Amino acid sequence: MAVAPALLFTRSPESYLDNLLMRICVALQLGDALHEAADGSYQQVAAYLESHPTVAPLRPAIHPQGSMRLGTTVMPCFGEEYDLDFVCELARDARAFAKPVDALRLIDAALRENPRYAPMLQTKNRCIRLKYARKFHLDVLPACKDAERGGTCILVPDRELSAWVPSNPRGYADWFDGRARQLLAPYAMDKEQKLPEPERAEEKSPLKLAVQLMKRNRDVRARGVARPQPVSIVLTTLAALSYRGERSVSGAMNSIIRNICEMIPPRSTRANRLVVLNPTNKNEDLSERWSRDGLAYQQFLDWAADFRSAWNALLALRGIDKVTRALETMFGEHIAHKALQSQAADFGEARERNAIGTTRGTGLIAAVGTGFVTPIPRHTFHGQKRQVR
Amino acid sequence: MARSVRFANFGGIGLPQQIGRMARAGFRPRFRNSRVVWIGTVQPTPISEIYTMKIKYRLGGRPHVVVLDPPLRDRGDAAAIPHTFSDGSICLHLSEDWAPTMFVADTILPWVSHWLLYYEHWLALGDWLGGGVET
Repeated sequence: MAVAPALLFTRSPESYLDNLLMRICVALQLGDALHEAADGSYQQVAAYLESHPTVAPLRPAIHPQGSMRLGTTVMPCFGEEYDLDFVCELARDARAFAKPVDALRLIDAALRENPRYAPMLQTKNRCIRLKYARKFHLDVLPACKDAERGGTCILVPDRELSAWVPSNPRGYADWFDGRARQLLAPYAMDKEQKLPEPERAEEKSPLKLAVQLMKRNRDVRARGVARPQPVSIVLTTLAALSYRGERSVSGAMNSIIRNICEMIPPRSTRANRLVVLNPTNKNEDLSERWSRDGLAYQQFLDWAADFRSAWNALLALRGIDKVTRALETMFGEHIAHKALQSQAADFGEARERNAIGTTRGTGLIAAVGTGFVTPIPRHTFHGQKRQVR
Repeated sequence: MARSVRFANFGGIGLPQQIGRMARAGFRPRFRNSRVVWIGTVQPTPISEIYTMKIKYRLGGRPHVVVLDPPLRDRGDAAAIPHTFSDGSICLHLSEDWAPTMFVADTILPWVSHWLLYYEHWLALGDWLGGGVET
């Protein structure tokens, strides 16, 4: 999913910064090769389960969920793996299983029969994990339709609780897409059967880009800190609730971070905390942990305050190097450098094509053919090789 | 000597024309001896610093370009700022790239923007991405 945004020539610092932020998001997503590998692996697992003699009669429907479905994947820090979630929805009433764990065992056993999957398999609380050699793992969550709640609601077996837990990832994804599409032209979407196609960063909803940046900032900030960090679903929900349809990443981010900070009650503690409900199931408190873990809530408050001040400081900075330093602190050195290097490479390429010039009066570099732009004549930087000390 | 060059038919662009074109780019001239000294600002990108530049030009000579403010910085390591001269002026071109038949405003100024862009990239990344030669 790595499609870089086009070079943007603008007088607006926010738009220019957007271009760098979009490149950061591109660098955070699954690269093209990894996306293809993940898609291939997912298709294979789906085809295998759909034709497996014990699973096939239950007409499994396998579809991506979570960040993979939402388009908000974020490269993990510290050489961890991308976590790609898939729901394996069975056309069977949950009550037809004697115990919830039987649904997990059914998928577990089917995959374990396959000599290719057996050595890759890990049993988790709500899913079966397949660890691939190539920097990602697939989590397969068995699920049954929730006949009582209907719609896209499902029940997911929980091994530890020994119970069926209600969930609605498709409903959530539809809600999120709706929020992401505000003011943007609606586009047809059928992402159920395959991994979402790569989206050009500038065509991607600013909400999705903002969510990626927020999650990444949380991860970078959490390096070496053993405290519980705000979970992705909470950040994603807060961002989607706060987004007002802005067309730029920086505009979206301004609005999101301001609105999140306004949602937090004054002098908030665990006792008068922010409550983040699941928009598709108002009975589910996604932030439930905060009521029993004051430290986790404090971490969230600190994150929100720090992110807001870092963001506002970033907007005021002048000097590509100073902006880059701030981006390094917020999103990681490697990613910030990669974004700037890709932008610089595009400048170099445009210069080769004689496609850039400078704007008379300001010196701003701009595309040749736009108003008052003087082409940059051919030249070779020269100078003396020196050492400072 | 320069004074005589100024009135000689050297085939280049005259000072009034150079000054007129520089004025349109917002550079105001001052005259010192036989040279014109322009002061003006250049900002290569909207998130870049706005640099105040001083460009000295003697008719028929090579423009001498200095960044006045903010002062140029190194990266705190042993490496000097690339593509500069020991007097601190910046080196934009090989001698064959520029001739007095060219407008300073249409050559030197775009090169200054270009140089400043790569200078800010160099500060950020430690690599000079603009190519060129250092001798």
